[in-house]
Amino acid sequence: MNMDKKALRLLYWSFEEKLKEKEQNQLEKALEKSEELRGEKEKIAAMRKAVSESAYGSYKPFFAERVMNRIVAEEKGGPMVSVFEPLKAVFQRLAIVAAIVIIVLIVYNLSIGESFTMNEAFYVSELTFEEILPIPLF
Amino acid sequence: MTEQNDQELLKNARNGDKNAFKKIIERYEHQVAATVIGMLGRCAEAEDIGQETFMRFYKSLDKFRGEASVGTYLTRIAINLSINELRRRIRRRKFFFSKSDGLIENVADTNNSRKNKEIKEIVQQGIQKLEPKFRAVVVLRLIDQYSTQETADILKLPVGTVLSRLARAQMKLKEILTPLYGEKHE
Repeated sequence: MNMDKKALRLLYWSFEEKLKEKEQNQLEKALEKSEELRGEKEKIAAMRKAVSESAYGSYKPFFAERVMNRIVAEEKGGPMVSVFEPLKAVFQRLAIVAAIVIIVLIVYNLSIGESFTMNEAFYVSELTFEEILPIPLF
Repeated sequence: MTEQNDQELLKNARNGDKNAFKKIIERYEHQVAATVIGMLGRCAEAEDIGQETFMRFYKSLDKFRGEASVGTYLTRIAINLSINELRRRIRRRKFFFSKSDGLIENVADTNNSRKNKEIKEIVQQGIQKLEPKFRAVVVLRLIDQYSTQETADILKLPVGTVLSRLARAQMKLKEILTPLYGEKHE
């Protein structure tokens, strides 16, 4: 892009604010001289229009009702209702990480094992209850 | 029957009239949605942040003195909550090693883009590729249609900084969306 940097800056600013007379004259002269700058002006105008028209201006139906229900619930339930919300998000993420780790371990065990069995997947031999418990029951 | 103005609704809401506050939500849902979805994209968090915006406003009704309009006050809350959510996303991405190359899939293949996706969605995706500080000025100025001074007031920035960020954001957006407009201008 060989456009005059100052002219380009003035061009962008001209879309936001009324330029001072001197700057406006500089921009107009630059636009007269440069076809590339005129093209840039069109692209900026088109892009700005597209952005302003891209707004999603509503949520799913009954948004106001959901907010009011939340207000009523918080007024009834007090601070406890909001304390558990962030914890729920944390536990969800931990659960996903744990599930991924377990799947990776199972796949690894099966890949190095000699057979395709649950014992191979979890890398355990057949154990008795007494072998699992470290302390005697009686 | 004339519609109640914001001040009347707020007065009634402060006196415990829940319907009055519900009317405020209905009146400003579009503005908040445009701001939050502009910042976060169409996702579940956008609704959560939208709800949280009105919750915070409800809890601060007694403190709201009317120095700014209700719409501007709500937009300020929405932008701040959205920026916080974006910061959380950035931290999560670092933790989960997800990648973003800054490009939109399929924009280069403009014929398929136009057939399969509306331009609106492509533009929104382009906005989502901007860093939060650039995204905020684009959303406030170009989507919410605030003036540069109002945008500066909401973000508590000098006007010069807003202008500079707007210029850089638009240059970046143009780069991201050029394949779409390159064909359109033929």
